[in-house]
Amino acid sequence: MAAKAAMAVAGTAMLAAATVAGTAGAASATAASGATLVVASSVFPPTLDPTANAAAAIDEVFEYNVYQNLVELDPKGQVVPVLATKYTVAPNGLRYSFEVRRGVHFSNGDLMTPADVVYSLKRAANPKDNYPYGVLLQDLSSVAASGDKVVVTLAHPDNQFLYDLAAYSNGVVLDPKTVSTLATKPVGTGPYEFASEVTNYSITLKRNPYYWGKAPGVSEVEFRYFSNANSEIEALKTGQVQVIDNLSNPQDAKQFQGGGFKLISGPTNGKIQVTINNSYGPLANVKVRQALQYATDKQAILDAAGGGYGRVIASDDVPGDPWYMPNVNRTYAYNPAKAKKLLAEAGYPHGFSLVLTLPPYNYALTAGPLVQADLEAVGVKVAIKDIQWPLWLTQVFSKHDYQLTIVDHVEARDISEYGDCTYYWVFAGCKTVAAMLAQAQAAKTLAGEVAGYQAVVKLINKEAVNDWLYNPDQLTAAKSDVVGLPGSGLTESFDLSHVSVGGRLASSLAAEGYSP
Amino acid sequence: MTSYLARRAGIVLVSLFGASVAVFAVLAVLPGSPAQVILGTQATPQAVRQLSAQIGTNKPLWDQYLHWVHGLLIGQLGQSYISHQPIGPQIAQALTVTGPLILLALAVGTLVALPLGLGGALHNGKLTGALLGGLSQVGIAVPSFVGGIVLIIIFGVKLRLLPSSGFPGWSEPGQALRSLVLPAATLGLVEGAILSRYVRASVLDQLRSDYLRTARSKGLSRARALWRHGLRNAMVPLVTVLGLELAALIVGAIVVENVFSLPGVGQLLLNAVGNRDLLVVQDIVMLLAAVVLVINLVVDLSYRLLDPRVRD
Amino acid sequence: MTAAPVEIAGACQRDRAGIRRWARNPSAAAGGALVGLIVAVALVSLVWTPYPPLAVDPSHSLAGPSWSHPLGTDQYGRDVLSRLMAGSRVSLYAGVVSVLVATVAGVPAGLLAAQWGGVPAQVVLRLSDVLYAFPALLAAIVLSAALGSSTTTAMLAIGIAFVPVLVRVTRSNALVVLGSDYVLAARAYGRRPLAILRRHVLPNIATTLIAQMSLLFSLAILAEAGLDYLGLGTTPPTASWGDMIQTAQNYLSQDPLLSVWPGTAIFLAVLGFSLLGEGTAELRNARLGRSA
Repeated sequence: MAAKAAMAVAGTAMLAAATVAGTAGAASATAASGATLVVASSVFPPTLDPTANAAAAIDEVFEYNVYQNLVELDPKGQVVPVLATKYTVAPNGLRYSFEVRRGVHFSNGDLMTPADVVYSLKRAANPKDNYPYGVLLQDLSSVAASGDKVVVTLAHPDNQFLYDLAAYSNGVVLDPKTVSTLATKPVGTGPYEFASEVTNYSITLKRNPYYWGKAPGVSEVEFRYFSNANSEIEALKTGQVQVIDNLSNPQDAKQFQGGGFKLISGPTNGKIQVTINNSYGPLANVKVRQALQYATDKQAILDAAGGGYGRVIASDDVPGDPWYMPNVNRTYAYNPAKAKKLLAEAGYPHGFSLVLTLPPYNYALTAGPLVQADLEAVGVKVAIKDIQWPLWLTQVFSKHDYQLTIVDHVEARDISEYGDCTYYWVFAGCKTVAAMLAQAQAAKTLAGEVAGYQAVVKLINKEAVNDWLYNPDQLTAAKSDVVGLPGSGLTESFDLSHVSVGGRLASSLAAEGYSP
Repeated sequence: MTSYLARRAGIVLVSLFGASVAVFAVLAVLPGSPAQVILGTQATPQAVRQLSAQIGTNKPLWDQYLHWVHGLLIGQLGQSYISHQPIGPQIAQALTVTGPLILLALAVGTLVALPLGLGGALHNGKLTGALLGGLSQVGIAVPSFVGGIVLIIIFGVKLRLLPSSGFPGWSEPGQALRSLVLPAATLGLVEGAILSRYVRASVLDQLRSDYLRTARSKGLSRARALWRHGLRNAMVPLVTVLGLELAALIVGAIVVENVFSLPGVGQLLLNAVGNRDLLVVQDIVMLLAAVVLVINLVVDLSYRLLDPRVRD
Repeated sequence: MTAAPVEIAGACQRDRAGIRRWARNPSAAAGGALVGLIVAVALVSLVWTPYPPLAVDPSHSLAGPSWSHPLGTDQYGRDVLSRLMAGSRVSLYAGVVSVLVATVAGVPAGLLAAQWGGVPAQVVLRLSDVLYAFPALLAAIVLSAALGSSTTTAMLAIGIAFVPVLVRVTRSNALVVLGSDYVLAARAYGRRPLAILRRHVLPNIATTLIAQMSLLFSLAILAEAGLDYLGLGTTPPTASWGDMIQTAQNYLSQDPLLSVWPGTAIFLAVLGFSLLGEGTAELRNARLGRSA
């Protein structure tokens, strides 16, 4: 047993993946190994099972910390191998061959085998299992294990396949024996194991004794939930917590720049936008939609709602995308005069009335009145209506019963929604986009694919499908001695695999985007 | 007596039945199915239909109702659609916060009500009495959440003496009690002010009663006479009021738990409403209604037992 | 001790004497003054507030009291005084709707139970017992979840919860009047039951009912503020005192005063109506010769 374990360790060291095992020489061991890290967060996960529910709050705690995937994203948004030691893609783009890491154990002691990987992928791809992003994997024609390898064959080439496997709970590797109790006792291969939870209050994770990689610098992590921004800040100031994962009020960021604290700001995949119902009356006219973009003072909204942290956008175009184009985001610069001219050209010289429906989120409630004022200035009268989230989902999202709404689209690389003719902004050019995207996805080279996506980004920008506002940053506030926190919000996980209290971060990890 | 008990118990059962139908009916017309909320922005009509079939929300309403009531009667509160966790243990865990909170608040309330009410009655008609009466008026007019926030500002933010929110669990009893101090004080002070008015009225009644006058004519001071003769009688209506206050505290706890972010039954209920976790909402509402009805029943019965002059 | 029926003769004189007596009763006077103040503010806010209550100004958020903003601004830069004034309308509306619902449903039911007794009375009493036991807040939570948060759904729930109180008060007071010699004589004389209710019972119990309604009004304001605080009542951005407190709680360390202003407003409104109710009841009892 010991010999086998030693071999496994040696094997792991040899197959040095850039992420976890490769911290040779760096001094992180000086950290207080018995330390507990308390992280303040705001939304308690509706369930403990990330494969059952799309809520990001679940992934934040469990993805990468408790569960792991074959490949994962580092804080810079790059795909890195984790449970796979390496992978190859066949020239036809259909066959992916993953070499599965050996000597990996689940937190209950079970050995992870390629059969478990196959089981997990099949479960994700099966529509009956209702994985939140399962639809991304439904194009698999076969998944099979052969020796230490798992071979996945796609029906069509998909340059985003690896990303989709890394970014979402689709890729988590499960222990088949634990599947019936996933909602009460999550079991994964990650650096932490689930210890306990107090509903609506806290979730506690402990170091996984069977973890195959380098143990994290803290022995216990507690996610504690605050329904109130003030108590969250008080808790950090009084030492009840050491980290706030994402400040609810960006205005509070100033308090944590110095004085024993640090502020970590990094991009997210979010697109805070005024969604326009393209099928509603005047909004069907592209000139009207363009006018709305010119009328909106996006920088002022970013300053008010985001505290200035983030960047203005003018399309579905954020830094986390490989096809990101900063110059596209500089179009539609604030110009109320041009907006009025466009409205007159479109046949609305005296403007018209609209209803702006807002979900109960801080950014929406702040941005709403500002958008209202901006539009009134060019003659469009806006009435604001606030509704609860479940009602937003039924009324706005499903029934398309709205005119304007403000919402943050947090999923990464979701531009394919512009090719979905049933998606709630009802874009008339959806079929064109779908064709363009299919072509891009089938491109033989990455450059070809990127060019294809960029064409789509430019198209929807020209058509002003929505009034995009800004891409917010994740604002993590922490005590200055907490090291190894994720430096961005590009993954759904709050990745604490490399965190420690005190000590220094390996330069390789810093290069990947973990905060020193 | 037994027929009275039977009749009252019958009324309780009818009330419970009526409440269950009302709650179920009202939630059944809720816009936004649980399946929709679970799937979120990934919901396609097909996926929603499939998930609804899986969790059973597409069955006919009367079927769902009977299934639910049956579960309630055999003590199986079911499993949440959203968290897939059994509801019974969740409520039990929440009760470990709400229960002690209410008991502490009851204690605080009694400690406030008795001196305030007694003092007011004894000094009735004088300035002190008027001031004490005014104090109780003030206590009633301050909403519990405002009182709670003021206490947080003073003791939590400015003085940093007590935690302004949260509950660390009973594994550290000292810390746990500290987190309950401000919430219990908030609840208790308000209820104490309301209770004190009943105490005052009840004691006044005693003070004016004939046998007390007799005692005084024999030379006892007012306070003495009250102590020896009147207090026990004054307590009788207090049993009623205490029962009613308990019911009010249970409901008041919902607001106070929100103010102090305590993971109790109130928070569970409010979060479930927000998440469209219908089964949890139904179960908690029925539980609270049952508790309130039973308390009222017990109070009625004890009142009858204590005071044989009462006729229905 | 029976109640003396109201006489038509000499009514004017009595009224003037009544108002003077009313003003001398400290509770009624103080309560009346507070209520008057709030009603005045609400009426004024319909036509004028220093700033529009919904106008945001993020560059001046969380400002303290100053000449341009006497009570400061909130986290979106909105003027607190203007929102406080606009919020008074919501509270008064809440009180009116719930008390109206309770009165329209409860008073006739109570009169019915008193006048006709027997089975109808039992039905009414049992139904009101069931309603009484079900906590109002719970009903409001469930209704808000079903029909969506709005002032009206919250007040409907609370109004329904108040019905049993009015049923009981109406019935017990009506019974006293119906048992009086005067009414017995009127019955013997052949007066119809409805006429008796209209000409004898209602005028006599009116003051008591008004006192009770005033107390319920104060409770309604309290309940509505509580529901707004929980997010189940008036939806933002409409200004409501309870909602203002809820958002102010996020800024306690930066701006504690933000929560104090709406809290004080609620307190004064509730105090006003409850004092008014108490004072009216005291006067009524005094006039009937009962000890105060």
